[in-house]
Amino acid sequence: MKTRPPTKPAYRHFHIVYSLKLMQKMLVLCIVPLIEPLAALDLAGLLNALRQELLLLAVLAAAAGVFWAGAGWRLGKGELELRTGVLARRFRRLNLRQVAVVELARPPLLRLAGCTRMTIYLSKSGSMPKVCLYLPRQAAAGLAEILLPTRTGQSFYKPTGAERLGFVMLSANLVTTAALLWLSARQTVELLGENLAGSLNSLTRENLARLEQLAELFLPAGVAWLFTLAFVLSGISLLVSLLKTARFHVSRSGGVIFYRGGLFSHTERRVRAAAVTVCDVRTTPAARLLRRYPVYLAAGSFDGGDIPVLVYKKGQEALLEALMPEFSLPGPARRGLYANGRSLPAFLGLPGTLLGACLVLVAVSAWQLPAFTPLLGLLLLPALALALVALEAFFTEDATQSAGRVLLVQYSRGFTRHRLCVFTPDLALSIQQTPFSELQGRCNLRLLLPFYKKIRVRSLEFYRAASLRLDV
Amino acid sequence: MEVRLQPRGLAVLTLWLCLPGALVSSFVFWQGFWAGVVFLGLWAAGAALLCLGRGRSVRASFVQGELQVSAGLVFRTLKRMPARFVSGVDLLCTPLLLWAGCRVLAVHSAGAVLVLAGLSAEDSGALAQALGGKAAE
Repeated sequence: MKTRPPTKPAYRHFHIVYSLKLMQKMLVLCIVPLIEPLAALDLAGLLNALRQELLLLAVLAAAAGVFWAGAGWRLGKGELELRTGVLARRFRRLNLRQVAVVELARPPLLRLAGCTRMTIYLSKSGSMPKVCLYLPRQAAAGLAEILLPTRTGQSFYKPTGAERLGFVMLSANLVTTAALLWLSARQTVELLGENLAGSLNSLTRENLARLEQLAELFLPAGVAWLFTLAFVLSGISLLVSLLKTARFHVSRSGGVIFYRGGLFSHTERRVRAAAVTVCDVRTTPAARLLRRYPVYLAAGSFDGGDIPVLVYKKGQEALLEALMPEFSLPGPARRGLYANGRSLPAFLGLPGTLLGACLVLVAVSAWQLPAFTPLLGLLLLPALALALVALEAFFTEDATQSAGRVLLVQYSRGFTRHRLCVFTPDLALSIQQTPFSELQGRCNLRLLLPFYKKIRVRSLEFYRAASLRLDV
Repeated sequence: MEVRLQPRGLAVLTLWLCLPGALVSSFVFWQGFWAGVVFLGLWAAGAALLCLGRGRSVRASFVQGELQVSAGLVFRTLKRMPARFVSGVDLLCTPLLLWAGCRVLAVHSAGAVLVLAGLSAEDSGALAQALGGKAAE
């Protein structure tokens, strides 16, 4: 007697927000009937178009509803099955063992609707590196627990100190921003009251000399406003960061790294430790000032996201080992002989040219147009910072292999110095030499990581690049 | 094992590289007949120089579980891909390549694609088999 194969569970629906997301793509169609009456300023036509809009919206809603009813998900044996489409059905199967990262995001609007946006990042590259699902909150939490289960353990990182520091920084910025705003406003009012009317009259008389004078008058206020804008923007970014990282904590249970946080917008990430490809310690200008370094994890198609998994300071390397036991930081810079034969233009070519151009501009302006000097001086600062970071890279950029065959890489891009610990052996190398670098026995090394991420290490010794072992 | 690109395969590659030049040259021919002829000649010479110069220097070898491809006379490059993580091998054959007895071999891994155009049919088959076998282990 034949036994019947076990029946699979029925497909479960996505959250209704899924249909709204489908509609969102089609809402562009609603603009089309409005264009003609708006262009002709025809009120009657506009009312008629709005009636058409209602009909169109109803049709779109019905279509989205039909798509929503036809779509669904279910868990099979070791796989997640997804069904989308109505007439042309699309079935996708995700192998649960290939799930590298699960991200549960609950922005305020989705929280009101009781919905969670779940993004599943896979560890193998292919036609589907990640999948985004809109699920009811309970279903999303349950599915995340099945995909990457975690036991609620003690969190080993809870950044209360960093949060406090963030608060202090934010307050300081607000005070500075307010002071600068007041100063700029006062200066502008003075200019408006005394000289602007006269200058505008001169402008109408096409008096170019007066226009130049006006520009000279405005420039100090312009510089002050630029400062204000920079501080307001940094204040806003700090506020956003503060809200995102509120109640943030990290834990590791078994083979899953778990971190969550956020005040209004909740974000939860579960990372399979075995799928982590790269651990990236970024030394940004802010990190240099605070002497605290953010650590980002990349796993599969997940590139690290917007929030670091933890922030550590010197002496807290144990935190990193608790996060990833195989982790080791690239060694200190070997100065002196190490840099011998390195190509300085390869590092300082672009930043040096930029710095030189800024210096020339500042010198010329100090000689001919002194009013422009403060503004150009502002440009000089980032150019100088870029050149200094490039000079640091000249001494530190390196790629070595640790005793555990983990690849340790340090390189600089822009203002940021990256120190990477590459865990995955699934990478390819490309070594490039010019006649000059060949004479010095050096080369540029390009690491090709999964999901087409590329890292370039400049002016490395050729024999060391060629002897890196990949078959581990 | 070590394989090199075949002269016949490189000739086919030169023809392929001449195609974009032929398309662009129509605009130059529009300006003047001799300008078009000179442009086309220069393009063809550049393509031949690139293919025959760089193409002849390409050496692909299967060493210590790695596919290594070195190329270039002046600007040298060395590409290394571990065979363990080769996710797919494509063999491309067009009528022209078939006539020349050559193939284009594309080796895929998670983050890179290595293309060897102009290998002989035997070499490409052996390399594909070696990589496929290694990847399947």
